Amino acid sequence: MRRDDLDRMIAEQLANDVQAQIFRIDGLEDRIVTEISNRLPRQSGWERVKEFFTAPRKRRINDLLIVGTTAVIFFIFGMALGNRLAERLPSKPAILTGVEQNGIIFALLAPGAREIQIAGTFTNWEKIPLVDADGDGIWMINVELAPGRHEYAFIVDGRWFGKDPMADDFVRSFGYYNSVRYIGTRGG
Amino acid sequence: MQNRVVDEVSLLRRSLHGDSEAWGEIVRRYKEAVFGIALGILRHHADAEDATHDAFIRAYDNLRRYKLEKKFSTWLFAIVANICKNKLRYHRYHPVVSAGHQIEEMAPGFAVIIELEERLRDALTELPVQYRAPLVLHYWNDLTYKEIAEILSTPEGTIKTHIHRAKVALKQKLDQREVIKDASR
Repeated sequence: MRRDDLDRMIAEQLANDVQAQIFRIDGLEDRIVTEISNRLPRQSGWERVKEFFTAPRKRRINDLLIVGTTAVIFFIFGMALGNRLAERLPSKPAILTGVEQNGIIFALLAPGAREIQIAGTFTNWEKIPLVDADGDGIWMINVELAPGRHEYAFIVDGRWFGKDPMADDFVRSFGYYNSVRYIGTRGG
Repeated sequence: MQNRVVDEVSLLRRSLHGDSEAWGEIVRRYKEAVFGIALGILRHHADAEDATHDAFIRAYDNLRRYKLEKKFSTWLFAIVANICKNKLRYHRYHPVVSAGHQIEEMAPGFAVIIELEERLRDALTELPVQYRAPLVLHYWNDLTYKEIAEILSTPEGTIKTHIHRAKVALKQKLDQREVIKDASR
């Protein structure tokens, strides 16, 4: 088979596949216009602040209670997780997270879990296990990461868990999240 | 061409300010190119349809991150390629039972040509995704290695290697299946 023939065949095959299914995207622009038009208008930060101060007193108190309660819950949870992680870390935690080794600890508090794994761009999406040696519910692994952006998720007893509370960012696709960590330079 | 580019910038600016009709025009212009990428990478028409829809919604939601000095198509194709990769990754951990051949049969014609198409289609589907994605962008979208490298966030040299390996693999698979013999009948 000549090289040109193969090139032509590939191009034609891809085009034929698209032409056979092109009817599926008929009217896509109308569906998308309808979908984005039906969304609630996005409020800017200033508009939200303005709305808060112009809202009735009862609603303002409710909003403050919700925000305050959420903040307290996150604070307590964060402190508890921080304390437990601090107990687990060796006496010189900087060595584990420092630039010297490029080692990053991935940890997940999951009491009762039977198996936790991590898969990410740095493992070529192969799953590697986390360890909970003392059975306290904190599963950990130390991974050496090159500087840059790393996408990953935990797999807890076979279920995808993409929202690591320690992540720098999240990406979402088809309703499932992946976590993102930046090593060295953000967005690099 | 210049008018089209300027027009596109104007459409993007209007979209950024919430003009959904302007975004509809962008969708109309790019939907076939985006659908082709999704279908080529995913090899599954329903998933490709979903991925195309999601790509345009995600692009609209993230339009503030697009830099006008960059080529819009490259940015958009990167989004759809990413969605496809995530979709394949999701299926890897949540396998589904296929209802049959993923890309449907085409209208009947000359037996040899149909057989050749089927074999090439199967061979494309069997390619690893890291080979298939650059191959699709190269042959369907006529993109340069440099543009493909930018879209897939992969070094240009790797892209060249993957396309070369993809073609070698395709040729081997077609040769194994005696396509050349069938085609020469």
